[in-house]
Formats: sequence, C-alpha cells, structure tokens
Amino acid sequence: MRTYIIKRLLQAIPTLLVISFLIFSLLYITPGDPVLIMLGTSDNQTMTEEEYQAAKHDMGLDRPMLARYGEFLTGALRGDLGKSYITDEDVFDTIVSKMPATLILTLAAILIALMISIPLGILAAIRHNSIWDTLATFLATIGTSLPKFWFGLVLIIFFSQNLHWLPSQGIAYPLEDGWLAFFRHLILPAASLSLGLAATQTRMIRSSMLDVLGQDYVRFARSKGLKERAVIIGHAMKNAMIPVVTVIGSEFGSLLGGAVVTETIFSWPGIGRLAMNSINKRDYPMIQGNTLVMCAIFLTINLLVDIVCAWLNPKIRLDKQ
Amino acid sequence: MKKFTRILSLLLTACLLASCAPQAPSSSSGSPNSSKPSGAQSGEPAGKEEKVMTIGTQYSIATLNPLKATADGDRYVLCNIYESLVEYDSAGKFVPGFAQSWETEDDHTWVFHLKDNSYWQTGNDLFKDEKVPVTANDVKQIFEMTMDEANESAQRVAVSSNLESIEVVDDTTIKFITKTPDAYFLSTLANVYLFPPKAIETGFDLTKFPVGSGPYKFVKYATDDEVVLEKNADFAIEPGLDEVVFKIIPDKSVLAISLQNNEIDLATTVMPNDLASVLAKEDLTVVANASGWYRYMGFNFDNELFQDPDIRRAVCMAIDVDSAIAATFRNDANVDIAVRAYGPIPLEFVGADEEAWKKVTPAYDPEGAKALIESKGYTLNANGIYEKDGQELTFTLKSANYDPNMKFGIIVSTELKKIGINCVSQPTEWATLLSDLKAGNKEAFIMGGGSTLTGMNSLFHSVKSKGGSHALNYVNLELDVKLDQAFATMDETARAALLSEASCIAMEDCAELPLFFEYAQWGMNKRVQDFEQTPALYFSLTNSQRNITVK
Repeated sequence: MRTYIIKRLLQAIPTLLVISFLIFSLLYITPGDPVLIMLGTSDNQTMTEEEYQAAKHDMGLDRPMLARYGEFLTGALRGDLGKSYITDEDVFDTIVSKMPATLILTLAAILIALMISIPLGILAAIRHNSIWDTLATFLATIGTSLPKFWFGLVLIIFFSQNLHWLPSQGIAYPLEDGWLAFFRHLILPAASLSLGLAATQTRMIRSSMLDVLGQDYVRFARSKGLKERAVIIGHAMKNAMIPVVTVIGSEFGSLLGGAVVTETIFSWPGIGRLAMNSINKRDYPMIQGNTLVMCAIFLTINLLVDIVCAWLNPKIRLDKQ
Repeated sequence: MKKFTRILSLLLTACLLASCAPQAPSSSSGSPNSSKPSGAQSGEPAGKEEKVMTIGTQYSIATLNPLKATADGDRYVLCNIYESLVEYDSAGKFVPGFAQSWETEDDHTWVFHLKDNSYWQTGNDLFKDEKVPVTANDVKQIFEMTMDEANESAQRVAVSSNLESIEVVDDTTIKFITKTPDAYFLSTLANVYLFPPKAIETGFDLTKFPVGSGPYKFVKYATDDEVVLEKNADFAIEPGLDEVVFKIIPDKSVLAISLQNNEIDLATTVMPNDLASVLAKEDLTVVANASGWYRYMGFNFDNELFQDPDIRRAVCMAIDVDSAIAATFRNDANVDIAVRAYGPIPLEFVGADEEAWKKVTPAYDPEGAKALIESKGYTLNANGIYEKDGQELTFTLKSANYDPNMKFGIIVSTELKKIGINCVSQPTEWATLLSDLKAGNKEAFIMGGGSTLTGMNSLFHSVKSKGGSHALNYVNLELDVKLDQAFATMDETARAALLSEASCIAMEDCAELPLFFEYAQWGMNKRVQDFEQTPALYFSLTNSQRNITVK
C-alpha cells in the first residue's frame, strides 16, 4: 500500500506540471488585458501610455511567457502562488480562506445526492421493470439534462420568491448567525449542485444493485429465509456501493468545478466564485493558483478513493495492480 | 447502522468545516433585514431598534484602498467612509463635502472653507479612541500624496495635470492654484477621497481597514459576500442609519428576487424583465437613476471606410434608433428605461442641448442613406449588399456580450443589412472588448460612457481622450479648440453654449451615432427614506443634500 501511495504521489507531479503549463499557455493566448481592468477605464480616470506600460512592467506582463512560467513554477514549489493583480492579496491565502465555503457546499451536495439516489436507485433495482423503475430512470435522465444554473434559479423562484421559505442568496455562519440560518442558506445551493450527481448516482446504484441481486450469495441469503430487507441492506447494498464510492470520489472534483455556476447564482463566497471573478478580471495569478489547487485536490481525492476502495473490498490489492 | 454512522460522520465533518469557516457578519438570515434590537454595546436604551439598511449590489469589490479605487462597487462603499472636498448631486451641481463653501479669487485660484468639526474616525488601530480633527494641513498632504508616484494613486494624473500649488491659509481655509483655468476642477477634487496622511506615513493598510472621516465607519468586509459599515457618531450630521450592509449579489435576477423577499432594501439595478414583479409588491417601488448613462455607436477613425463622413452619415441615417430603443427596453411594467439620445451630454448636465442636436444629428432616412451610399459609387450585388471595386460594404459591430448593448448591436446590424450594408454584430466579453478597443482591433462598436461632467473630453478630444475606454481615435482640431475653451470657461452660461456648440460639431460630423440615455432602475423598499431625491450611490448616504434612513 505504501509503495502504491508513493507511486501515485510521484505520478501527480508530471500531471500538475502539464496542467500548470496548459493553464499558463491558455491564459497567454486568451484575449483581454489585465492592465486595463486593474487600472480601470472609467470616465473618472484616464491613463497615459507611460502609466500603462509601467503597470504592465510591474505586473511582469512584458516578459516572455516561458520566463513568467518559470517564475510561477518556482514560486509554486515554495508554496508562493503570487499576489492578485486586482486586490493585491496573497493568492494562496485567498484560496484557503474561500475553501471552507466550497467544501461545505460540496459535501452538502453529495449528502443530498446520496439521500436521493440511494433509495431511488435501490427501489428501481428491486422493482425492476416496474413503474418505479421507469420513474427513477426518467427522473435521472431529467436530472442529468437540466442545466444547474436553470435549476438553481427555479429553486430560488419557488422557495424564496413564491414561498418565502428560504433565503435566495448568501451564506450564514453558524457561530455568528446560528445553525438554523446556516442550514437555511445552505439548502438551495446544495440542492442545486447535487442535481447532476443525484441523477448519475441513481442510475449507477440501480445497475450496480441489479448486478449484485443476481449474484449467488444473494440468492443463498434469500434461500436461508432472510427477510428481503435484511438481504438488501445486509448483503446486496454493501457490495453495490463499491462502484458508487469510486464515482463519488471523481464526482467530488466535478462538483468543485460545477460550484462556479452555483456559487455565482447563490452569491456563495467560495472558490468557484473566486474563479469566476478572477476570469472576468483577467487576474492571472488568481486563475492559475485556483486551477492548480483544484487540480491538486482532484488528484488527492482520486488517490483517497482508491485507498478507501481497497479498504472496503479486501479483494482489491493496490500493490499488485 | 454502518451507513448511518457514515452519514453522521459526513454531517459532523460538514459542521466542523462550517465552524472553521471565516467568521463574517451576515444580515438577518432569510428574514427581512428591517431593524434589529440594539445590544448593550451600543449604549442605546433597551428596546430601541437599530436602523439597518441592506443594499444589494451586483458589483464585487476590487479594492477598498481609497487611492486606487475606481470601480463603481468600490466607490459605493468608500464614499461613505471617506469625505471628499466637494460632492456633486444628480444634476452635476457641486455641493459641499468637507469644504463647506468655496469661491474663486481669479480663474486659477480656488479658496475652500473647510468644516471645523470633522474628525478622523475612532475605534481603529490608527487613531484608537483619540478624536483627531481633519485640518487644512491634512488636505494639503493628502493631495501631495495623491500626486506622489510612489503611492500609485488612480487620481494622480487627473490631479497633477493641472494643479500648480496648494496653500494652507489657516486650519479651515485652503487655496488650490491651477496651471490653467479649469471649470471642472471641482470634479477632479470630488474624486479624491480624504484619507488620513498618518496612514501612509505609518504604513497602516487602508485596503484592509479603511479609515476616513465620513458618516460611516468600516466594520468588516467578507470577501465577495458583504461589506458592513456602522454609524460614525462623530460625524457633523447624525447619520440616519446605525448600520449599512452592502450585500454582493452578482446575478441580477437573484438581486430582484432578494428585494422581493425583503432580504435587501435597495437593489442597484432591476432588469426590465423583473420590473413588473417588483412593482407588483406593495412595499416596493423602482426609481430611475439620477442621470442618464450615455450609449453610442462609435466608429474607428483609423479605419479607411469610416474616414469618409458620407459613409458615417449613411450608416447613421439607416438606423431606426427610436424603434430599436422601444424593442430593447420593452417591459411589462411600462417603465421608461431609456430615452433617445440626439447628442452626447446627459440631459441633466450643463451643455445638454437637445433642440440644437436634433438639427444636426442625422434623422432616420433609409432611402436617403441608400442614395448617399450610391453617390459614392457603390452598387447592390446579387446578395443585396453594396459593393465597389469588388469589395462589399461590410464591417463588424462589437458590443459587450450583455444587454442592452448586445441586443442593440443585433438590432443595428439587422437594420443595416436591410439597406445593403453587411454589418456583422459581434458581442464580445467585456475584458476582451476593452483590450480590443485599446488595441484598435475594431471597426464599429457600441459603448457606454462619457456620462460625467468632463465626458465630452473623454469622448472626442483628440489628446484628452487618449487612455480612456472610448478610443474613437477621432481628430477634429476645431472641436478640440472649442472643448478647451469650454472647460476653461468659468461662467456656466457661456460654458453651456460652448459645450453645446462642441457637441453639435461632433454630431454634424457624425463622429458617433448617439443612441440612448439609459436610466437604470433602482429597486427600493418603500421604508427607505430620502433616497428618491438623488437616486445614486456615487455620493454618500449622509451629506449636505440627503440623509438616507429607514422607517
């Protein structure tokens, strides 16, 4: 196991290098000028060509791309992701300060997705080819197809505008605003973010359960006279969950990415919104730092998932793979 | 049981993360933000309710540094923390700020009489609890620091370009001497926030904790979430609010819903589609922005096609601007969001002369436009597009990729195609549009701006427009002279006449096609008082003209 972890960690290094180079190259060819955004171009302010060039020089934008990339890379190795062009804040500190909000949102979304998908997937499997199965498949298809931004707005219109049950935007902090406020603010964005995951998980649990329910040990359990509930929960579900755990791991990374849209709609101050603002303002250090950290998280989670899978199923031996 | 344990673990993890989350103030969650009972900290009698107003704004905060702030969202907050020497009202008239009154000794010398009861805000690490008065010496130092390159002030060029010297007469009197007569020198001063010089001297970080002498004190900024200000009890006028919360809500539809849900009291904009639902609520209303925002269609004068005034005129004549405005701003609530612009100066400002503009701005006349194009040797080809020497009459029209500019761009290109001009609408992401305009990567474009007192310079002056966001590259020496005269004329009536003449020169030459003045609609809860008189957030909530409060 230890060898495997070390091997995977070493494999992550070239992956991160390639990703960082791709980000850098893409930003280099992306139109838009951070100097213009930083200095502002309102009617209240004009800038001379000298000022423009001076700002460009200060930001290092007049240097060759490879030199800038090298500087970014050496900084990143020391844990220094640079400073924001716009706010002048340390990029790493800013990302770290925003991370809890995004993690809370993502974990809550996963939780909601599981609460929906596990019963629905099991129901579809044990009532295979029934109306319940059709309904679950239909809902899953809808869930996969609906865009998150649209679903988010529908939730806001229904629960905030019409019913006045939940706030339409913002975050609440449990220690200052109370747990009730915290959960009330969390429900809608988490539900919106969970939609896609709930749909894919429902389909996955259904097919996984169908597979497991046809296995000999399940038939044997039934022949022993065990109640159906005990068979499903005690024998079938545990084994059916292994592929689900794997998918949740990779979906976690996707949810972090999907949080960009959700956080913008719900004014949720996490790293997704930070990414959106940074892109709009061409805040290159923030975009690079944000993407790199997200990639690192994604790789780490994948590694953790592999380890958890091995722990869940002793048949999986990582060292031999 | 195991599943239950796992779910419980997840929940506990979430709770743990939530507890670790940065602590920030939040307006009463989900409930109307009306009033909250004041705590013992405030020292108010028990039972008295605090007056809290929550402003929903779509603008994120770029910086809270008073030297560097230029963006709307930043200035909305900062103008309440800092005073400036003067402010201006919705009609562009200057009103007292830290200067109670002023006069000119001659065309170069401005004398300001300052307040003697203004203090730097207390309760911060810079001044602790010591009440330190703001003096004329401070003002002199502030302007010197603003002009110092080392401080990287966004106002450095504007201030230093025409400021000769500053003289402190006494603690409450100060003189500014300009190099040349400058009718809008006050406008330059109005953009400079009075920050404590001590902060620069001691290296106090005003970005992290702004300290000024304005009506409201900084409390907290939760990045991308909200800014909280509280009443400055030492301010000369007692502020009408105990607390002001600027809630950042980037999605404009959600902004309108938050207003309807009573989560905010004031929304910086209500989109046309949301007007009816906002107005359907009895406790809500909408008010038009204090002055119109000018929008125009510009031409790149470096492009050979647009160097021909007849082609520019033909393009202007081919566009039915009135119909385009009606189509763009149609809404169920029948609220007038925009009015046709015949010239470039907002109608509320000195120099606006609609009658004169109507005489020179080309009227909608598609047949006349066709005749003009044909007189230049163009003929219609098989595709119904004019061409000359095998070259089609074609150009791209760039606009921001959001409404109303985007919608307008599409309508304009359709109109032009109808008469045989192949205009291709190209909605462009904002940052890309700005860099394209600066780099000259444009043919025609739809843009906003010039909606300030010195907007004519930003739009048309061949030298003073350089470095701005308009970049027409228009050179008209006659117009330059007229503008220089206008901005050096202290007498308002004479200046208005000169600005009118200058704008007519630009319109007659079809330097751009004026489209409309947009009056953005503020969504407001009726419990907000004193905002309707001057509906804008560029000036502080409490000043010599208004003192906004809530019922």
